[in-house]
Amino acid sequence: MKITTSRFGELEINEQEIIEFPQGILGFESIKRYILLGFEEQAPFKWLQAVDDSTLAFVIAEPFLFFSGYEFDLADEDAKVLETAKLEDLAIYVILVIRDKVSEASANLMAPIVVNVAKGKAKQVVLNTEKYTTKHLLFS
Amino acid sequence: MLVVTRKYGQKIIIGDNIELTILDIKGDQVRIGINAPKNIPILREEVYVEITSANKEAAGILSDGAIQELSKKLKDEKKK
Repeated sequence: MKITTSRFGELEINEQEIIEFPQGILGFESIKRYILLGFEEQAPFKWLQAVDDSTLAFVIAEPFLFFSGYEFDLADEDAKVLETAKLEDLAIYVILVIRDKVSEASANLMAPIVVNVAKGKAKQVVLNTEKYTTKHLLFS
Repeated sequence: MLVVTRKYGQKIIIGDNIELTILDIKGDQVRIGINAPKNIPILREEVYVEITSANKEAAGILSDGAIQELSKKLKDEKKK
């Protein structure tokens, strides 16, 4: 299928690549379908692009590259939405804020994006801990 | 706003699939049990506000140039 994006123009995507967020992403609850886009020159950063809103995209990355001790328990309710509780089924990402000043780049470790890769289900889980906030600097 | 008075152990039913139960009342704290379908997120208000505003910020200003610069920086560091 073809989708239109404000950042990458028109893209031809395979419907199997679509990741469904049954609850949406907080603040954007009505948008449920996203795709992951990665570009060699931007690795390890990836784009989580909304399928049904051309302008909506998040930059994400695997948290462990920057925060080696990052860990959390997946709540039962979250595992239900993701349709799995097995670690090997899951990919973990965090949403980044990257502005012109790269030293200020930050990651939201309080609400990671968890994806059941095989089933294409995802959820932004909210961690019930004071250990992590929505703004950790990538380079500090 | 609809206001309902409930006692310990009593419930409120919302629609045909959301159920709130007053589990405990201690001083100024109330423990509430919630049964709802899995497509309905349930969050404390202050957490909802915080994550929502973080997400809106993240979806707002993003610099492609900065992402490329960061990517290059990380690769250069790896090579060293």
